[in-house]
Amino acid sequence: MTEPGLIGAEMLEWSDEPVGGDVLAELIRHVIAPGARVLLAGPHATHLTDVLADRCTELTCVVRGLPDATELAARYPEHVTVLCGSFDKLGDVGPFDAVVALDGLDRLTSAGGYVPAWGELADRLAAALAPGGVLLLGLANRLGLHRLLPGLAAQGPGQPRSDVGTDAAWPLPDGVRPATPGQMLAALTERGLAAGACYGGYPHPYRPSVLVDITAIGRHATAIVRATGGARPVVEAGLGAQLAPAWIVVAQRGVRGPGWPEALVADGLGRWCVVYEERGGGRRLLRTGTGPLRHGPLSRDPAALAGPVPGGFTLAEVMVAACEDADLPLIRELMASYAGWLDACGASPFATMDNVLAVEHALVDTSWSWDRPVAAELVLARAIRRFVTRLLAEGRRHPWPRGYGADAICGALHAMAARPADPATLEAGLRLEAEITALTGSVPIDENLVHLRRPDGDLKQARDRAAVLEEQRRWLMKRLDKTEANLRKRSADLATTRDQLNATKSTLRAVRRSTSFKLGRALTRPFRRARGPRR
Amino acid sequence: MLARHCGLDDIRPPRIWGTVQHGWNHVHGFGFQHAVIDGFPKFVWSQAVLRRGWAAGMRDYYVIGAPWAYLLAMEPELLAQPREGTIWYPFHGFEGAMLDGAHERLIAEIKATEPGPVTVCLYWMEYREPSIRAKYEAAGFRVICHGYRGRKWKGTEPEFLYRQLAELRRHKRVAANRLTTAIFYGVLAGCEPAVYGDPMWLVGINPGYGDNGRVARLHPELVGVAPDPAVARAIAAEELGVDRLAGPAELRALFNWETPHD
Repeated sequence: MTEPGLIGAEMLEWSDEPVGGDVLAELIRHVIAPGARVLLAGPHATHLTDVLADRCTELTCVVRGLPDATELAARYPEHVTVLCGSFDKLGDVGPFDAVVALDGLDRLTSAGGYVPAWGELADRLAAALAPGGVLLLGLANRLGLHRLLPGLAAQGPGQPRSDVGTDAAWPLPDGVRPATPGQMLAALTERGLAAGACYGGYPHPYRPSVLVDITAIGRHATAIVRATGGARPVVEAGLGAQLAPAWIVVAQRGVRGPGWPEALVADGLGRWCVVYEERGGGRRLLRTGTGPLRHGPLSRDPAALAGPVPGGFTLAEVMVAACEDADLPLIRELMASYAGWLDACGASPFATMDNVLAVEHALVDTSWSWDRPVAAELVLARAIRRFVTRLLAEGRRHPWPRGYGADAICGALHAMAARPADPATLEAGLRLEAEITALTGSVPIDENLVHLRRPDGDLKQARDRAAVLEEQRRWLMKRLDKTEANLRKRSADLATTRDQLNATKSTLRAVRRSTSFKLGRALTRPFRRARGPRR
Repeated sequence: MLARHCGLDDIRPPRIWGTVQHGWNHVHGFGFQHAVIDGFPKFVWSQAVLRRGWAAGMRDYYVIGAPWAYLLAMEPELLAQPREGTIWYPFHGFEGAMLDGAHERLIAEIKATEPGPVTVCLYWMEYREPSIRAKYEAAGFRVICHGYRGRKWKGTEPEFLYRQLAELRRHKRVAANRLTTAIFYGVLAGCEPAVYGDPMWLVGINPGYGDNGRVARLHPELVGVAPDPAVARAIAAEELGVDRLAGPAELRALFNWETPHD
C-alpha cells in the first residue's frame, strides 16, 4: 500500500516529533512476540516502527498528521496498514495481540471538533486487545525531573516556557489523566488489564535512554543518575519513580505475563549505542555491533560494559556540590588528588570528572579509547573544561565572583589542582573536548566550540559584563564627582585669593593717591636723588 | 604579602583586580567609609565574613584567608623570642572618626590588671598626638606604633605587618578594649588574649554596623581579662580563614596577575 487510509480529522500540514530511543526498541523486542497482530497508535520513530514491521504479520499504524502517515505508507508497502486521522474516528478495530502507544494518548486526537479525554482513549485501546493481548502505554510526567533539573531541556507537549508558541506547545486535551504511576496502573486495572511492569523512563519523556522498573529504582540508581545529571538527591529521597520524566506500562488483558526486564539502558548516542539489561548487580549486553566500534581516532569496546554495575559518586557530582557550597578547601583537595591520580595512572582522555569515581578514582565507563596518547595535563584541561562548561550551562552556583567567565574559572581550577595552565593548554583542552564530543555525539565540532567558549550563552555573559561595567561606571563617576568638587573648591579658593589681592591693590592705590603719601614722597625726594636714579 | 606568597615583587606588588579585606570587623569585612564596588570581586578572610557580608547585601565574595595568615605560614619562626608582658592596643579612631573616651580611666584599668610590663601600641594618629602619647608614657608603659597607614598608596609602611609580628612574638599577652584585628593577629601569633576596659565607642558610626554591644555578643568567649586561649585560637583561625588559604597559582589566577588589566 502506498497511500494512507483517511479516517477523519486528518491534520494536513502537521508532523509530530515522534517518541523514540533504543531502550524502547529493546522493550518492544522483549514484549511483542514475533508473528503478532499489532496496533501502533501515535507518532513513533522509524527505528521503532522498523522493529514492529519486522516482527509482525499484521501492523496497523494510526497517526494524525498526513505527512507522517504518507511517510509510513511509503516506507512499508506490505502488510502494514497506515491510517491517518483522529483516533476517536477509528471505530471498532482488532482484536490485536498487542497495542503500542509509547507516546501516550495526548497526540492521538487531532484538530477535529471533538476531543476525547484520556480515559476514553484508554477505553478504546483496551477494547482493541485480544484476550492475553499486551498493551505498551507511555505517559509523560508533567512534574518530571526533566522539568525540575537545570540543563535538561525538554520538548513536547506541556513542556518548558521556551516552547511557548511552537507547534510542540499545542494545547493538551482537557480532562483528567493519571498523575502518578499508581493512578496509571489503577486506570488500567479498571479496564481489565493486569500490569506486568511499570517503568520510569529517563532522562527525557519522549526519548528515554534508561528504563527502570519503578519497584527497583534504588538498585539502578547509578544508571538513572548517569543518564540524568542531578537526579541523585531525587533518587536518594525515594522520589525516582514519582518524578520520572515518563512512565511506561506493560499490561496484559486477563493474565499476568512473564517477567519483564527490570532495567534497560541505552548507553551512548547513534553508532556508539550499546543496549544492556541490568539485573542482579550485573549487566547483560543486548545489542552491540560485532567487535569494537570505531570511527576516526575514537573506538569503543562494548565488552568492557559487561560485568558489575559501578556504584558510588562521580567526582563531577561531588565537585558540583562543593561548588554550590563554595567549599574551597574541598575543591582544592579534590582537584589536587584528581590531578595527582591523572599523573600517576597514565591517564585516558576519557578520565573526565563525570567518568571518574570521587573516592576510588576509578573509571566508571572503561569502554572508550583514543588512538593516540594524551598527556595528563591535557586530560586535566579537557576534564576541567567539560566540568566548567556543564556547571555554567546548567546555571549552577559556584564560588567565583561575577565577571569570571569560563576561561577564568578553568584557570582557577587548574591552579587549585596545583597545575597552573597557560592559555595554550586551556585552548588545547577545549579543542580536545570539542573533538571528542563531536565524535561521540551528533553535534558538529564548530557548534561544540561555540558552546564551550560561551557555555552560559551570549546573553548571560553580556548581562554580567554589563553589570560589571555599570559598577565601574558608577565608581568612575564618583571619582569624577570628587575631582570636580576639588576643582570647585580650588576655584573658589583662587577667587577668594584674587579678591583679597584686588582689595590689597585698591588699598595701595588709595594710599598712593592720598595727600599724606604725596607729601611724604615730596619730602623724601632729595634723599632718593642723592642715592642716584632708580633702576 | 600576597605578592610575596605568589613569588612576585612584594615591594612594588602588582595591582589586584578586586578589593582585599584589610581588617577584621563583625559585619561584612569592610569599613563603613570604604566604597566597595558592587561589580568588583571582594577577596575576604573567611567564610564567616562571607556569610555576614551576604546578609548585609554584599555579593561577589571569594574567601582567600587573611594576609596575616599567609605571613604566619611563610614565617613560622621569624623573630621568635622569649615572651614577656602584654601588648595593649587601645581601640583606635581613624582618619574620619572621633573617639569618645578617657585614656586615663583605661590606663588605670590596665595598670590594675596586667601583671607584667606593658607595651602600648597606638594608632599613628594618636601616636603623633603628644598629649595622648604622654599620658601612656607617664604611666610607665612602653609606647610604640607599627607605622603610618598611608594615603592613596603613598607613605604606607610596607613593613607594618612584619613590625607587628615582631612585637606580638615578644609578648605573652595581647589585649585591647574591643575585639579587634590585633587580638586575632595576636592569638594566631601565640599570645593569650584579653578584651576589657572602656571600649571608647566611635561617635556617629553607621547604624548598619549595629549597636555597640554587637561585637561582644558575636564572640563573647573572647571577652574578659583571661579568655580561654584554645577557644580563642579556634575562633581566630576561623575568622582569619587559616584553613582557607589559596595557593600561589590560585591567587595569581584570581587576581589576574598573569595578564594584568589596564
